Amino acid sequence: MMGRISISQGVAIGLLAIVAVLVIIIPLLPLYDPYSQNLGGSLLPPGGSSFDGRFYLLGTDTLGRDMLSRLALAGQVSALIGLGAVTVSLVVGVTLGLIAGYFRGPVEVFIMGLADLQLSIPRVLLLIAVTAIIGPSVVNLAVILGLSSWVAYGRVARGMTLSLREREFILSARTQGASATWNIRQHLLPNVLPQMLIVGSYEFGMIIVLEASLSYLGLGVQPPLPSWGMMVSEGQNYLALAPQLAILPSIALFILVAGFQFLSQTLTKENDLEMVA
Amino acid sequence: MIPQAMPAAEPANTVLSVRNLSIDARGADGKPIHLVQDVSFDVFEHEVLGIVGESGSGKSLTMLAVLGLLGPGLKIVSGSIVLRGQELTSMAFADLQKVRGKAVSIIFQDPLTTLNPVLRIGEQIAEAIRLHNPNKSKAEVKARVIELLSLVGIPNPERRFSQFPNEFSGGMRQRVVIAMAMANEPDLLIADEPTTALDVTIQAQVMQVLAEVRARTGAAMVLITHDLGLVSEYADRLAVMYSGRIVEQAPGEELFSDAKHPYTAGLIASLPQIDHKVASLYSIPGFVPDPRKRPSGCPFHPRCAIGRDRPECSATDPALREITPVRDVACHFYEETPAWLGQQRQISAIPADAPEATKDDTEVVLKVSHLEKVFNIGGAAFRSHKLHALRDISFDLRSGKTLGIVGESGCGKSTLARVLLRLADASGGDVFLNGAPFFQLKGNALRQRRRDLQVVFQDPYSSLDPRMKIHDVIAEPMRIAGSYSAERVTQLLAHVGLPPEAGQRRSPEFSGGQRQRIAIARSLALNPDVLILDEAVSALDVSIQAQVINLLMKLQKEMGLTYVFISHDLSVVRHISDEVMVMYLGRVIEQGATEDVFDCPSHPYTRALLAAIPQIGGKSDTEGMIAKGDLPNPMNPPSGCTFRTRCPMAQPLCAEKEPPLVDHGHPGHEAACHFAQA
Repeated sequence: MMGRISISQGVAIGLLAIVAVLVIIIPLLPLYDPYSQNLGGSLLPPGGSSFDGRFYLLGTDTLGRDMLSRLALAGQVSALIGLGAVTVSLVVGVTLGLIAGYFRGPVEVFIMGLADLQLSIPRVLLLIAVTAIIGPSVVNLAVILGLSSWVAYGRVARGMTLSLREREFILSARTQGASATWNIRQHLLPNVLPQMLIVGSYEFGMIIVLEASLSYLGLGVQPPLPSWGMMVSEGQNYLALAPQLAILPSIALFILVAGFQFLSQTLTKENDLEMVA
Repeated sequence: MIPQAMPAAEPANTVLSVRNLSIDARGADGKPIHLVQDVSFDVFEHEVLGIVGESGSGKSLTMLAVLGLLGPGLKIVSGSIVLRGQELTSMAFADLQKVRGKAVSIIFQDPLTTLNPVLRIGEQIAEAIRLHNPNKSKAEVKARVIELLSLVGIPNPERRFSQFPNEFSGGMRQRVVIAMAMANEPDLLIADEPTTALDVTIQAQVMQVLAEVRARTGAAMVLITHDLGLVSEYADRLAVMYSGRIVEQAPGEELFSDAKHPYTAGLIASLPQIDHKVASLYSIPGFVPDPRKRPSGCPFHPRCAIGRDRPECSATDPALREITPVRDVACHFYEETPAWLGQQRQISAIPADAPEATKDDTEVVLKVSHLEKVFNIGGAAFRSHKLHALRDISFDLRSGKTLGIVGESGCGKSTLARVLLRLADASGGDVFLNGAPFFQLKGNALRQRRRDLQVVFQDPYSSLDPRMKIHDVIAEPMRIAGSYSAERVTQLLAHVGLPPEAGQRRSPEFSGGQRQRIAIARSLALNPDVLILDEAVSALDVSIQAQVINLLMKLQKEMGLTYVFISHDLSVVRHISDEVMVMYLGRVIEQGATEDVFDCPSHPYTRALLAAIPQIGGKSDTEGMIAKGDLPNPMNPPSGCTFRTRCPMAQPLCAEKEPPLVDHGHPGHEAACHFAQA
């Protein structure tokens, strides 16, 4: 639907545009290498210059690394983990949810039991235990975070399937000899997927925050690779001296998560309208 | 001519006077959409004004405006609404609240959503009393509630007082809603489709209660409905609405015996009759226009048999004018309508020399023998209850014939459809499709064979996948079978009267009747032998219903299809069926050729059903024929004959012995009653 843009649409677009500039455009600019240290110019405030005359827009960290380019790189890492995890959880959750809702019976009992089991274990503890065993890396983090958050998708997908499977277009396809795979692929998936993307846009923010907490605990991304959570954790030791070290990545996190919250709100509204029409 | 300005003094007996009322909605593009245009009418003391019209005619909107309940985005742009001398359109919100519920109250269609499920019945009625009588003591209010409950015929009102809505049946709930509406003895009662959600025997009971309470308080009533039979029976005067305006207003009997507006005449001609069979129904072509794209001139002219090609009709919109002191009509050529209607009646009548329907000369395509279905209800295995949804259902259906299955909700007719389609498993019995056993089939063999037995469901909205193009919807069965051809899709669209371009659009762009055509096209894609039509025309407006019925009958003739036609609407079943089966609580209680069952019904239930149907012209004779009370709990059916608890002629024998389904002196016409009349 083109036409007037609502407030929440505008806010979502604005916030996500800021993140996109930070994560996509800034790394393309000829800036400082995010890894190269300049011990002569450590803990510079935003807009400060080092003794050798280098100018830093957002200042430097404890090792004299450029905050702007590190923030951009960390954003890429965080976003990558977020997207990866959302993809993994969406695929797993939708598959299990559709199977449980369509076939019912013991299969459903098993899958939903699995979901309850998963929910009953505190997620952060589980993540700490698993990362401690298999070791942290970007891929591992995405997979682990994804596998531990499929339940939201599974529940919603199953709920929708339960009502859709009694809808007459599915009954009618069954009388025409459609197999379960046909119904799931042709009817259930296309009808469930938009709702799943809404869940995904909401979960994306949660995953980013979760990754930040893990990184904060030292179980996330390993240095020298930065992530926003890790930058917050590194910066907290210098809160009095150089508060921007913790504040800048926090603001970036906030913008990203808020952007996705507004996006999910907008998607919900549009999807509702479509259902009504 | 209805006076444009309000007369100085209204006649003393006028309860409600609406003048030149127009209601607009704000469109997505900011332009106003004229939903109701220049509507004027009066309601007098003690009278029932019926407002009839199809969906989108603006009938409910007009009455919501009277109550000041228009939703956001809707606005009264001009006109006046005067209730007992008080102008309502300019009234302050707080004053309006004093009027609502006191001077005027409303009964909505669905008693399930009108009542709050978490509040006790008594409290809900008490609320209505207290709002307008804050000084009444608790005991006084309770006494009044119990009085009201007994007034609307609810047994044991003291006990019922503290029960919740889920402990009431649909008919009982609507009685509670009536009690709430009557709590402050309003001058005007607005009933918006009050019985549409109810079964026909319950409808008769509820309409009777409404008449009784009105007789006691003298309240006037506006009865809004799409059901011409209902208004014919219960309304004194009628207003017919079309596309946001009143097109005809007349006393009930005159309107039906001598319709002047071609739309009214078209509606009457498109209604199947319960007391005689016609060869074909007239169907008003096209559909109700979108209020954003109303045709020029008379909004009805593109669908009008009389004015379709006349320049006056497409140029000027006829005003509603007085043709006799009690009749108004908005048509340039209303004088021609009676002649046209007479002509239609001749065309649709069965010619006297029509050959007797050929009997039993075709082969049996669907044979059902001793079908049973038992549901286990309740969680734990050792505490589960059994619900006998289908008991000993047997019939033979010959090729090219139509079997009508009738019964009220809960009688098992839809379960029967599902079991036949193998969407649910039978608990016993056999089904043979084209002579071969159908119930033993599994896997691939089942997927192949079930294509011969197809279905069209009731709800045109949930039967099409909203995300698919119509072309893909109709192509789906062929794609499943691996025999897709784009030509065949176009051919199917043509069969159901849709242009080939329709295939490129999605279902939300189509109206209910068009969607039902699409569903029919899809069911025909694989050349089935038998089509199960499960309430397939029940959700459609009268004029659209006639179009779809005519289409079904045409397709049957052309393709030699066999139909199982399931419906709660006996008139439609009479029109379309060769044979009829009447079901009650999962059992067939009467079965036979359509003429035999409708002309000489032998089971008391069939007779009660037929008597309860409101008829156009002439009040139906329900005296002593109304089925008493509600459907018994199917988990715990009565002993012996299951109908005996509601039967006007039950005897002690009926409680002891279940009557078998046998013929009573007329082979082929069977009834399950000890006292069946031959």
